[in-house]
Amino acid sequence: MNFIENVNNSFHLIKQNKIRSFLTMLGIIIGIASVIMIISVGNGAQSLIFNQIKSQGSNLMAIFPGSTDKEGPPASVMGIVITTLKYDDVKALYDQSRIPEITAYTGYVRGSETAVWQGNKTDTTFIGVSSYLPTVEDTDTQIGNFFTEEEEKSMQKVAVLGSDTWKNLFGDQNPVGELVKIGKQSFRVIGVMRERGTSGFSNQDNQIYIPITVGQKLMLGINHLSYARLKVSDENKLDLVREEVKQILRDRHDILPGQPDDFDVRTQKESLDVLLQITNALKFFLAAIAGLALVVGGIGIMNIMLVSVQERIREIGLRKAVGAKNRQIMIQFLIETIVLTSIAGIVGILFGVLVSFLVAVVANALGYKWEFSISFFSIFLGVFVSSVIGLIFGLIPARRASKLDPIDALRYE
Amino acid sequence: MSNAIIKIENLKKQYENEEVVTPVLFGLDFVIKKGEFVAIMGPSGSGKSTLMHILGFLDKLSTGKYLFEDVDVSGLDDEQLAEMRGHKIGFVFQSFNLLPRTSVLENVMLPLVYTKLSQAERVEKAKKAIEAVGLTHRINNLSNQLSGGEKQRVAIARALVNDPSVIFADEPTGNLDSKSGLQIMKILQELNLKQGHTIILVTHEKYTAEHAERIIKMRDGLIESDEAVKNRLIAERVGELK
Ligand SMILES: Nc1ncnc2c1ncn2[C@@H]1O[C@H](COP(=O)(O)OP(=O)(O)OP(=O)(O)O)[C@@H](O)[C@H]1O
Ligand SMILES: [Mg+2]
Repeated sequence: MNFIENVNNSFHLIKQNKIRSFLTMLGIIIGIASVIMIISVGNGAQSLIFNQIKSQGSNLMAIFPGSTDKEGPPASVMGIVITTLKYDDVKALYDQSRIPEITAYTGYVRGSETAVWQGNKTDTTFIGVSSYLPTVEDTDTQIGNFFTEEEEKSMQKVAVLGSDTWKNLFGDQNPVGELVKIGKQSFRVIGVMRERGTSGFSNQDNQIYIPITVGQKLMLGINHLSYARLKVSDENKLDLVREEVKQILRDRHDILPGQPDDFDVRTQKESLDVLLQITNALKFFLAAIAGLALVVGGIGIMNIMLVSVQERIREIGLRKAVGAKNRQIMIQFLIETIVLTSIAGIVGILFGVLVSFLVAVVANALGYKWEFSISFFSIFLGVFVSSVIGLIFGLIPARRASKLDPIDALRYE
Repeated sequence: MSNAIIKIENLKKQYENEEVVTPVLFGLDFVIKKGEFVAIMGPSGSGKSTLMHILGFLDKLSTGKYLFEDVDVSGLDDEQLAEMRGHKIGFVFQSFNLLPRTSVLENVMLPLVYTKLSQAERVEKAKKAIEAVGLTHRINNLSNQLSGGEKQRVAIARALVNDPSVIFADEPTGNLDSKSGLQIMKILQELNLKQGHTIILVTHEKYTAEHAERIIKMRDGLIESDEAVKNRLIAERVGELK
């Protein structure tokens, strides 16, 4: 049998043993597709998070309550509630004018509620912030105005809607001056933010901004902050500013020398570094899952190959009985395995790329800036591992069978 | 070159698996001449199949001598043995041993797949062999769509297709009813009488054995008798053999 005949023969045999071939290919397809998918989704998620953080500017500084070691994320990010950071702390940093580089500040508190206007409802997040939020986050209103420092101080129940929340409640109608119920409280709408997209995994356009004082006292009944942000005029003075901020906060919190901080000041760059660590850990975790998928796929291939060779020992015996040489049998198995793995490999790659692409399309449709990327390494890894497993477990038993006396193979049960 | 095609001298065989030694053949001697039709008979377990497998290069002898067309087989390596199986002999098994889900034509072509013949030559030879067993009308059927008798005829066509020097048939009628069995004997006898093929047949039935010209009787791994058939039966055409 020459090469082309062998390839034809392989297609023929694959068709003749549809179920067996399908199961073998399934293992390879799942292995390759999942590796491609997982790595693509991991990269997409990482790019998403980074792009958002970078877009908020590099001259921001964040203050989190609770102390954390530099390497890890702030404790408050991990879902632990710490009540030591107060709004007065943040205002003090600004008011004392000891640190002229701080040009704006805001605290943050948040909660989930249903907002209602004339029977229209939408589930949304209300965020209590300072009047300086547009400066800090580098954004603005598209209709009306953001609330002022006076409105904040006098605890006016005013609200600025995110653009999605506005559309959900009002359609295209101008909402300024309308009363919206958020939970049990009524708020007068004074403006609508421009479209902002997503940050992290939250949609910034489906939010309602209210004065932080109102958010703390009326909505949540708390007097601490989740976190705060400061805008610094000069990016190069970030370290200097941080030291001053720390000192002021330590004084205010009566922390004795030698005692650790009960807060954590981070620059945007540090946040990025920490996020990099988190997302890298995530990617590592995903890679482990991908590896697992490969192993599972590989075991699938291996089992089917072993079973099919058991089945085929008799066939090998027959082929030897009619004059096939060991080498010819091995070539036949080799080519058959290669043909099978190639078909499965191509299907697996197409499938993996397609699903990764769909994930990107869906993520973008949901408003996330998700970059669709396929790494050649993942394709290579998936194809390489699957074919090596296919080859090893296809050929080793075949080789053993081809070494038997024909009659032993024929009698095999 | 003598006209002896097979010559064995003091041929012995014992199976050795996991420290259990099973002696099966205890020293056989005979000569089979070109064009002979020999039947081997004997009770179950007397070693008939073992002998056939050794003669057909499917198994190896333990001691003794086996000359095939004057060549000492013990000197052949794996590759040469495969060569012998592919060119010198055809083997018909009691249990057919066809490739499943594979057409009659492809089954018959199987031995030619491992030769240097072109595809066209293979098809031509296979068609001839299929015609010789009267299965031209089933040529594209899959092996699992055939009756037992038809399967055995496919197996005979496969054994014929490479123009072997000897055709071995180990109880080819054992799984068949008497009518299909007779068809098989008719085919084998025609191959022997009209085309001069050398045939070695194992059977339990005296009636079947008497279609041969010589009967070797075995018992407990030894030859009990080796005689010519006095009134050889000639198989008539039975039923439809298109
Ligand atoms: N692989 C083997 N290992 C050990 N013993 C074997 C093996 N193959 C056959 N035998 C033994 O060799 C003896 C002869 O077996 P063989 O198949 O040659 O008998 P037979 O004459 O063909 O019988 P039957 O008419 O039932 O087909 C039996 O006793 C059997 O148990
Ligand atoms: Mg037998």
